Amino acid sequence: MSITMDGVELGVEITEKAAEKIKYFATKDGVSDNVGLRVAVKGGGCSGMTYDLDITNEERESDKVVEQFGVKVMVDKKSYIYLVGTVLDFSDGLNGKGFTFENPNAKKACGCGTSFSV
Amino acid sequence: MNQRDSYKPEQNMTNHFGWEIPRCYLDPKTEFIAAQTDAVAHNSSYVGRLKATGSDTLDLINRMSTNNVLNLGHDRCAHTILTTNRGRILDLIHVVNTDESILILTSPGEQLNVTNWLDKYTIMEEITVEDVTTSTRMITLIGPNCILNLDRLIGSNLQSLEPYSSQLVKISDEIVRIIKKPLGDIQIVDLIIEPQQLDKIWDTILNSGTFLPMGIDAYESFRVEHAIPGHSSEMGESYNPLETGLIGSIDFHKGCYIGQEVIARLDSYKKIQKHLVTLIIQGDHDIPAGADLTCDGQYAGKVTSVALNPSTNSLVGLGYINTANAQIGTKFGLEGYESDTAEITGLPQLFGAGE
Repeated sequence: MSITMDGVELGVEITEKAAEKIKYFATKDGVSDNVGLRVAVKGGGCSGMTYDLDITNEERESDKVVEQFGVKVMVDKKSYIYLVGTVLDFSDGLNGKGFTFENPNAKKACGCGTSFSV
Repeated sequence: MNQRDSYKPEQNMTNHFGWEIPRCYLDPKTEFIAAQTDAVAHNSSYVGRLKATGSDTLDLINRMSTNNVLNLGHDRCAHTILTTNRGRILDLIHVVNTDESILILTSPGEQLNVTNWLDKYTIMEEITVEDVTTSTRMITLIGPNCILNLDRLIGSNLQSLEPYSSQLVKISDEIVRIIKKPLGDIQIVDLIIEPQQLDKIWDTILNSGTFLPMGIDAYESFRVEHAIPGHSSEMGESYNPLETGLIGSIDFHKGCYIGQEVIARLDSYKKIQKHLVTLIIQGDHDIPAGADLTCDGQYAGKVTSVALNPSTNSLVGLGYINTANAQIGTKFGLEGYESDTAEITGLPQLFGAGE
């Protein structure tokens, strides 16, 4: 299943800054080629659902895959429903929040930004 | 003493959450006093029982409830509260890690709601929840001597078993899972059994002469007297765990769970609006649950449960009182019952005062 808007298939996007950080963490994990990020949603967190990130290059058949800035973003089909249209960014600096999610499906999000409800 | 002489369930069965349970075996006073001072056996099969399997079970429950159950060891039990994202109570559950699965004890009649709640937040997780309420039975032993008497009956040493532990024991050659889960200073042991074992085990326990049977009426008096909150009366989406005195079931260091931010904020800023209290009610009327409590003619709270303490023949109750008026000894009027009063006798905390 794909969700489209104006004929364009929607997926999960990452910003260039997020892609750089993902590559940085992947290198620390010993992954330098074919860098991939699995983005998923799990039950729980302050608001009911929570984001889950995992650096991996293991792609599954049913994944929605988008490649941006040299990083392959993989989303399983269940999480895709909750994540479609989400932009993953990275906020650094002393008061930075790390990876942030701009999720158009989220009606509410908790203060720490990693949990949301739909 | 042959308890069966007075065993007359056919005369006074009641439908309790879909289960035909005797209201009374002997008389409520005898049963109530035995629970307070010695040991009783209560057919608690109406309590919800779920069997959850899958590698993510404890992780999911941990992310959805107030207490830390993530590393619950084998044969260990924990109480935790499923809360909504507004920090309100969905249900107080007990989670038991048996070797083969996670057993979840819910409030009576709440097993479907808990199943649906877990299912709602199951996205990627490996977990299967099966309602085993009707395919199993449960007997609850209550009273200061219940563990001692059970040990004498079956030759076990459950007195040395840590609280909130579980174990398989043999009763009349039947293998039974016991769960030791005291509520404050009340000794309680649950027996989880197969339907075909019920009669044999019930008879063995009662024929030992060291347990009296306890019906629903005496149990309800005992519940109110010991401030055990009931679902829909004292627990539900109108209340948060802090209001219900369940702070001892909240781990403030475990990290996120559904409703965590709200509960942490309420605790930090002392924003609790009302408190669960125990009441003694005096007057001429049978006060119903739901009656409004007044202070200087103004609404101050609500009675949520009422029961007769058969030992003292006094009416006791549970209720919620506005925080400003929630002090032991404060007296209230009862709306519509001008000659009656209710006095706060305690602000219960079922699992202690927390950290």
